[in-house]
Amino acid sequence: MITVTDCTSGYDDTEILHSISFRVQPGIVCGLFGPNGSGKTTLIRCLAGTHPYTGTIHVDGADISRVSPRKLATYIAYVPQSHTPMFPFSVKEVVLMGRNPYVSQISGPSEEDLIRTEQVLEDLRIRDLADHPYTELSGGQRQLVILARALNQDTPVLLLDEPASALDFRNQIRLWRLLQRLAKSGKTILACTHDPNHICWFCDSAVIMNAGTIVTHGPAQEAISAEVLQQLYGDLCMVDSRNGRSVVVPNHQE
Amino acid sequence: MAQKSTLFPDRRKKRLLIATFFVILIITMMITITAGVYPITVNDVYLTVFQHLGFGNPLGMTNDIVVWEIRIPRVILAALVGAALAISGAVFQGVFRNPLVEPYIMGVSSGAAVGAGIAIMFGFIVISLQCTAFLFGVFAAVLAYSFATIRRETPLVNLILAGIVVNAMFDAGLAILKTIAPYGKLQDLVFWLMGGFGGTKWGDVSSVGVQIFIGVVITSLLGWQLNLLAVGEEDARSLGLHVQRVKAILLGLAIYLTSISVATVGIIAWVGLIMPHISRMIVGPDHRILLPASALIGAIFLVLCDTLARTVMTAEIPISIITSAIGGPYLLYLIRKNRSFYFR
Repeated sequence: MITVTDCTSGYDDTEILHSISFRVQPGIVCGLFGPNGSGKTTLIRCLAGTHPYTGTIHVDGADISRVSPRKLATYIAYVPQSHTPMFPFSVKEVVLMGRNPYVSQISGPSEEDLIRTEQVLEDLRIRDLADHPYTELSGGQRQLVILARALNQDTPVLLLDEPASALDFRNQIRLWRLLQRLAKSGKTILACTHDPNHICWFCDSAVIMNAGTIVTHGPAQEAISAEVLQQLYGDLCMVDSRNGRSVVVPNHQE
Repeated sequence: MAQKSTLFPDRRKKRLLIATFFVILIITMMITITAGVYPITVNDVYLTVFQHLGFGNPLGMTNDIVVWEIRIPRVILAALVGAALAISGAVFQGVFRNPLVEPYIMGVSSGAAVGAGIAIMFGFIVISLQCTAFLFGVFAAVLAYSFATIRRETPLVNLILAGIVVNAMFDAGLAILKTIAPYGKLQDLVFWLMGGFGGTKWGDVSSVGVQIFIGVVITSLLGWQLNLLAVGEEDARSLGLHVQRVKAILLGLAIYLTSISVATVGIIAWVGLIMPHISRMIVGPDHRILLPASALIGAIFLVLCDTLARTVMTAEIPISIITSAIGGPYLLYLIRKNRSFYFR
């Protein structure tokens, strides 16, 4: 479970997040939704412990500002937006790095770490990529590798920053289905996205942000409402319903 | 767990590779000891070493002096300094995530040189010579890094430009030292500035050499942590690494190794840039293997360069000329070949 209370954060003099509070229950996929610049990434980075903030963030009852980075990495795994590293580490080396919080800092990964890494690669069906240089993968494959690294951390909470942005439609659906399965297995998942339909189709609950504050927060189908979309986007789009599911569609041009 | 992972079948092979590099280094040292004006055979080298370890009979005075007192300490120090410079380069490249950065380019070597120069001028003893060199090395790195950092970002171009500025500042510092040095001290200073391994004694090996050896071994053990840093600081932090602490330890070790090398043999350019690069091409980017590989390959390289320096002409050539003659063109080649890779 994630509990955020009065979280305020920003860069240098600019405040991006204004006293944010919300809670994510365990075992669900929670979508973090908002337009560009609404503070989604900053919030995720605060939760991941990689950005300073004021206020308190609790994960499974522990205040994350009071635990060591190593301990925190056993609570929370973070999938950042994909970027290209400089050195051509192989996929297996990158995924193995996920074991860091459990690895002896002197003798390095154990046999068990290697076996778990292999298992994660097989679970995500990327075992055949194991020896490929990470730098030469497509955006979608890279996203999967970083997800594999995060899963290898074996944490109760998984944070993802725009996990579907580099994926084609098929892989987007596969990724969200995977996140749903992970949630069923008991993980708490918080993923940010800027596609409202992803919230409607794949998330159990949603936190809707705009300009550094929370607009609304609740079950996904209710959170993406006509009023909320009106507030975020004006007359740009509307909520339709198909077979009991909400679909956000653009309005016809006048 | 009884199960065995098949994920890293090449792990043993890579360890074997490290052992192979070590054997090549030893053989290179044995052979290069034979090179020089006074003729010596590999067998003589072997016998002399054994005699000093307590076996066999002395081979004769001249042989003993040339092999044991002159060439062996020199070759050992060259190997250790080569290892120190190369591993420092590998650390800088990993921490700054760019294969074009190294202590020399960042101005650390010039900084250390000014520190050492000040110590020589004012007649400090050996330990504080290294200390002053280290402090100035750290100072230079901090300067270059803070010059290069704008809004918490440190682009490569800024780092290299900042390095040029810092280098220029400390070169000016050295020039000032030379200008104000009294006659006797000036001689010491210029002699030291020319650098090189000429006149190396066992005392150098047991003081500086041992420190370098320990430093290189400790650094080699931090390959796993450096791997995490090399992927990105934010990633490393979220994977549970204490980023600032590990970064400080690694850079501190690299600057220390570079500084005490500079304090002892002067500035030797290019080793820190090129050796990690060649090593990466051979063993891949995993720093657990790359760090020891760089150290060993750097050692082999500098032993060979030093041998060239003392044998090509009757008078000794400054070793930096040789490393530059090889390193400069190689860097040019790298940049032209991989332009988009380095500058993005």
